[in-house]
Amino acid sequence: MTTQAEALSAPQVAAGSGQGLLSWVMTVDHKRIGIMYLITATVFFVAGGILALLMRTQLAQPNATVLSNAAYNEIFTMHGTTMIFLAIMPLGAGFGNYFVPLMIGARDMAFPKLNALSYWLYLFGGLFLFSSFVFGGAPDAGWFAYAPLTEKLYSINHGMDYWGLSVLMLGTATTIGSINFVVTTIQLRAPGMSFTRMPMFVWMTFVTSVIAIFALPSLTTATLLLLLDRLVGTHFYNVSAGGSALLWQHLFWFFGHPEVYIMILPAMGLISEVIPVFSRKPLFGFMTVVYSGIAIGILGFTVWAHHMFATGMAIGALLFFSANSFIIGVPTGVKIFSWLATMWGGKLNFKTPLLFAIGFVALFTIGGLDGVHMAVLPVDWQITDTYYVVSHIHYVLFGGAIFGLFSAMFYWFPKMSGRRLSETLGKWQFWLMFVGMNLTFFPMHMLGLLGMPRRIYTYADGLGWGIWNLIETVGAYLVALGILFFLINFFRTMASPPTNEADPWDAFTLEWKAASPPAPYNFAEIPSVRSRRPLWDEKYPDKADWKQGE
Amino acid sequence: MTASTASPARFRPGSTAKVGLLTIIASEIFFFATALSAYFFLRLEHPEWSLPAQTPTGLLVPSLNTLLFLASALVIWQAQRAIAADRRRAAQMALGLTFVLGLIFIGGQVFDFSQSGLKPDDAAFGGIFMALIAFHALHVLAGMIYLGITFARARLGDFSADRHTSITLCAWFWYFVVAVWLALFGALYLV
Amino acid sequence: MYPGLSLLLASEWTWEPSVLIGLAAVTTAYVLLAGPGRKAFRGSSPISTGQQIAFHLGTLALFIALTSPIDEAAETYLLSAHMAQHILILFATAPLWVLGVPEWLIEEVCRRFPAAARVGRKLTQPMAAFGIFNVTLIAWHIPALYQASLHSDGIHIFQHLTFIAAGVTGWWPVLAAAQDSVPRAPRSVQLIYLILMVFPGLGLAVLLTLSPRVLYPFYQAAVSAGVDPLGDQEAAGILMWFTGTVAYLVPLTHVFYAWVHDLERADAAGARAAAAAERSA
Repeated sequence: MTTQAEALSAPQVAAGSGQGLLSWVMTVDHKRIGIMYLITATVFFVAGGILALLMRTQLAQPNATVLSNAAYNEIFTMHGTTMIFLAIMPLGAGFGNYFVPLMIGARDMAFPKLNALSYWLYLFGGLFLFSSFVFGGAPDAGWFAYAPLTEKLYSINHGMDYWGLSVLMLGTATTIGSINFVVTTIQLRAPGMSFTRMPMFVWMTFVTSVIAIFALPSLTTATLLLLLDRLVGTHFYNVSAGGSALLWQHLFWFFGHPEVYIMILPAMGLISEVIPVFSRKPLFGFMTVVYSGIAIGILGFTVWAHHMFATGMAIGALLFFSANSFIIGVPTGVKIFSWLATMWGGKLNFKTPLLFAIGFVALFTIGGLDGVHMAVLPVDWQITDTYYVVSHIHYVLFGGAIFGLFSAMFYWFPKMSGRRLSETLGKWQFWLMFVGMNLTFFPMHMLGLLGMPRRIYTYADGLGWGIWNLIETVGAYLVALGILFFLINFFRTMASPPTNEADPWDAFTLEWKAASPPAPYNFAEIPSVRSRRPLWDEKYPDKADWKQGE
Repeated sequence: MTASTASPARFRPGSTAKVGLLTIIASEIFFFATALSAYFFLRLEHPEWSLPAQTPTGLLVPSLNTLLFLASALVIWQAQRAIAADRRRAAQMALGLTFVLGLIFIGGQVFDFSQSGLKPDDAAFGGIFMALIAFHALHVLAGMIYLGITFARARLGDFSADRHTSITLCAWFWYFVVAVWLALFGALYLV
Repeated sequence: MYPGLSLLLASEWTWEPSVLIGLAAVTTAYVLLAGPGRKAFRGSSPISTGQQIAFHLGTLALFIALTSPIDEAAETYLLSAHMAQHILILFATAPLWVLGVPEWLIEEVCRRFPAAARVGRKLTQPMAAFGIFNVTLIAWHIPALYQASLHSDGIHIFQHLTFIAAGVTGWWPVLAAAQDSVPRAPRSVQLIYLILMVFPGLGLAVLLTLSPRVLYPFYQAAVSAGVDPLGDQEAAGILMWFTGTVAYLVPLTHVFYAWVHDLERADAAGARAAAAAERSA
């Protein structure tokens, strides 16, 4: 009987996949959780951006009074904490959640309920952190919260308690999510998808998750000890009672350095998906790029004290960290060459995803070179804690991670929503962001060399800093305009009727085989895979990868 | 499209739950490793810290406790062997005994700490000692909750020679907390 | 820069008869094994030149460790020299010896001593091997134990023997010849193993390097020789740090590409089988 056969063959639809708000709250579907991550993270990104605009407005002129000293401290602390923990990491996790199962041909993550828990912990942690503005004052000792400034004696209000507790929640969310990604990647790949045939974004998410599993515990220890000091009265960081101020820095940066790779590797994976599709060529040197990611991950655990060059460590230790900080540039360079080699000789399709990806390569290279400069000890002793560092971190995190994430956003928007974002608005956004970003952050190199320290709420007239700060503020507003263009693009696109194109970019990987947006169960039949570009093989059987002498 | 086979020599962990638990254990090992590193880092500044000079009760209670805890690892190993041979009652009893030994261990720790006169806000030593023991005790408690649930399920007949992943997972977690204790015992009491 | 350099250069070679005889015996045994002695072993094949060189280099490393000026400096004034000695044993001799042992020798030994084979298999399981290597490494750095090895020759010899044993055990899962009697780990497990091996040594090295005080009172004697013991301790820490972390990248690179090669070969074999099935269908 047809109806019986139909009833038997239609896969059961998971709970929490219907319509209505409650179905979203109850969902364990990785695609919905991914969307919730992306939307929440974008809201936090905008919030962090507004905090940045406030800072830039205050700094545009010497001796400005837009923000008080105390307010400024809260704002730069919240800006850093928000961008790192509430924007960049969850944006990566959002794309990972949505696309890792699709790209490996699975129906969901290995632990769907834990996946939901990760998201809600993240949301709650973020809201808890921001509630500090209302309940007695936001944290104000910097996003890396150095002890003993953060001890009860010096940070009297509860701001740092909010920071510590939300960091613990967010760290737990990340750890749970990482465990989920690791197990999903090991266990749920489609038949034929060996590790050598797994897409680069899946690989980088996997490596990132392993790094996170090893690195987050150090942050947990550091933060737990800080909270114990503040709330119970222990003396881990209190030198006069036998504690150590440097202990915080070691524990924090043992996490903090791998953390920057946790932020950048997924974005590197993302542009490694976009560049091949928009160059019409497979990624150059695939497994070597994978290995570079692994090497970066391991070496990332051996360089942490390059954030501590000015703390009076012994020269042998300093040289060790300096040397390793140079070495870690090598695998990164390998990746950059791979992206360039992929584009070389390819048929480039200059749509917005590719523009952001190329932007990543250019801007991340600048930021990476800044890092190599700072690995030189005498240079670092001069420019540590100046605007040179601020320039470096924003070139790699904004020019790098954020540009990579926008590349993915434009690339995968059709898959998630069934509609393409406007190319015109996208290009406007790209150029505004690219020009704005360089205007904002390039002059910071000069300011750093001129000696302007970071985290100061104002500066004197006549130092020659005013003109650069003004230019930077203009740049920041251009960036903000670009983001505004994105928001307009988003809402206009969502208001327009869907076109439901499954494969608008003629792409290579499995997620484009599913519908746009995919059915709750992703694939009616689990696909099987014969090469690294399974969809390409299917669409162009004469030119299939597995036929090329494999 | 026919499937091509994956590499024959590929490592097959067996089950998603096992891979999941191993990953959780890996994360927790790094947690204890960083906490212990913090202890040793502080200790570098303080050559005067050395147990048992700091604790009036000396080594007797902690050592007995450690032996008991080691014994509990052997007991839960017997539970694994028993269920693999389908000796269900033996497995149940072994799980229950492990639980009891865990309880005695926690009790011994609480007793020893209360006798030591150490307070968390004394100086850094009191704090780090207490923190390490407390973090470990929390993990033992988590293990005991898991043990309790597994014991109850065993009583209800959930497990057999072919189906006993939960007992395996429970045992692995227990070996982990025992191994961490050995490291802590060595670091805090012997070195 | 390196405080102990002039002292090291001024130290003498130590020609200890037991060491020389022992190393000569090991070398002779291996040369015989590679030559006429092979016939005594079932299923033996010629030992490749690479393997023979590896083994002999391992013996050479041990020779340098135990007879060169490093040895005298290690037993008198320089922790850094002692560290270099141990590093030669753990990171040169042990892995090179494991590389140099042909698979037919392992299989024959296990056939004649099945109990030893069983024990060997258990000890070289990745988790057990990891534990044995790292616990041995860490335990000998406990001040009380390290001091004991400096004050007593017998304990010192025992220490070196345990390092050789722990080193061979630790490197076995990654470097042993492919055979089924005491097998090495699958390539993917080797990758995880090597990554995890970085961390225990890292922790130890960090503490040693950043310590504000001399941890092994024996080496306070360095002061009388004009060397700052704390600076030397730091140098020792850096040496351990470097070998214990960045040096693992060398075997890791090899294992990664070997793993990729295995996967690609298996994928190709599967593709050929699928194509054949399609043609015959």
